[in-house]
Amino acid sequence: MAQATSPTSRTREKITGDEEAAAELKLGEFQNVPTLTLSEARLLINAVMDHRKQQRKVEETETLIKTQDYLDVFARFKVKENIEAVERMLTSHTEMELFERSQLGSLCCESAEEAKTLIPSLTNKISDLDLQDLLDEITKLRNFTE
Amino acid sequence: MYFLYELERVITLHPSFFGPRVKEYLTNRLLEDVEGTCTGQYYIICVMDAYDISEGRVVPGSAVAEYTVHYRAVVWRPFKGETVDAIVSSVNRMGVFADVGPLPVFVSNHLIPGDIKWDPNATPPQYTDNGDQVIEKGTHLRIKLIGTRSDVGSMFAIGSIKEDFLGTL
Repeated sequence: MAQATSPTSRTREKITGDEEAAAELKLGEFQNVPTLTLSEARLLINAVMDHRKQQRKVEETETLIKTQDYLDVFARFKVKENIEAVERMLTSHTEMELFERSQLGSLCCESAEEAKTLIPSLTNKISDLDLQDLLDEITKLRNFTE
Repeated sequence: MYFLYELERVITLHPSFFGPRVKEYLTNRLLEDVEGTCTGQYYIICVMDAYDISEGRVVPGSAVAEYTVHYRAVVWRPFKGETVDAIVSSVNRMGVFADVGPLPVFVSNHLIPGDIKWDPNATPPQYTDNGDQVIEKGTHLRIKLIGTRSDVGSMFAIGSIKEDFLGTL
C-alpha cells in the first residue's frame, strides 16, 4: 500500500563546477540570464553611478574602479546610438545564444573564422557568410564614428 | 561575461531603524553588503536597483525585522573556455600575470607560443618574439580562460594564449 510520506531527505543541490563556454555552452545558473557587451556594461555602470552620485555620497569599491578602468580601455563603442545600433543588429540573430551575441559585440572580430575560433560554440549555429556580414556591419559602425 | 542578474538578499533590521526611511536604509545596507564583492563564482560589480522589498517580518524571539530584498545587479562571471581581453600587470620567467578587470589571470610560459620567449636582459624584462609581439607590463592581451579557482571572497584564473587569434592586441 503506497502512501505519500513526508520527505525524509532534502533535495540534493544542483551539481555545479562543470560550467564552461567551450564548444557547448554550459552556463549553469546563468544559462538564460541577459548578457551585456563590454560597451553596454560600461554605459550602464556609468549611468547608475552618475545617478547615484547626484543623490548621495558614493564610495566606490575597488572592484568597481578596476571594472570601470577595464571597460574604459576595452569597450569598443562609447557613443550610445552606436551601442543601440549594435544591439539591434545582434538581437535580430536569434539562432545564437545571448552569450555568443554579447561575445561578438565585445570582441569585435574581423573575420568569421576568427569569431568562430574565439567563440567555439558558434561553429554550427550560423553560416560563415551570414557571420561575416554581421561582423562587417559592426566594423563599419566602429570605424565610422569612433 | 557580464550579466544583468536578479538576486535576493535577506537583511535584518534593528528596531531602532523602524521609521519612515526603512527602504532607504535597506538599500544602503544592500549596497554596503553586496556591491564590489566576489561570491567565489562571480563578482557583483554594481547594484542597479532593488525592485522588490518584501514586507518586514519580525523574527520571533528577537526584535529585529527580516526583509527579503530582490535586486538587479551587473555581475561578471568568468567561464572556462571564454575568450577575454586583459591588461598585463607583471611578467616573470614562469609566465605572465594579467588582470581582467577585478580577476587576476596567470598565463604560464607553457601556454605561451614557443616563438615568444622570455628575455630577462631587456629593459624592462619582457616576453618577445623579436618581431612585433612584445609582452610586458601594460600590454593588452587576448586570453582564453583555461580554468578558474575560487577562494572565499576572491577568484583566480589561468589562461592560455597559445591558440589562433589569441595574444597581443
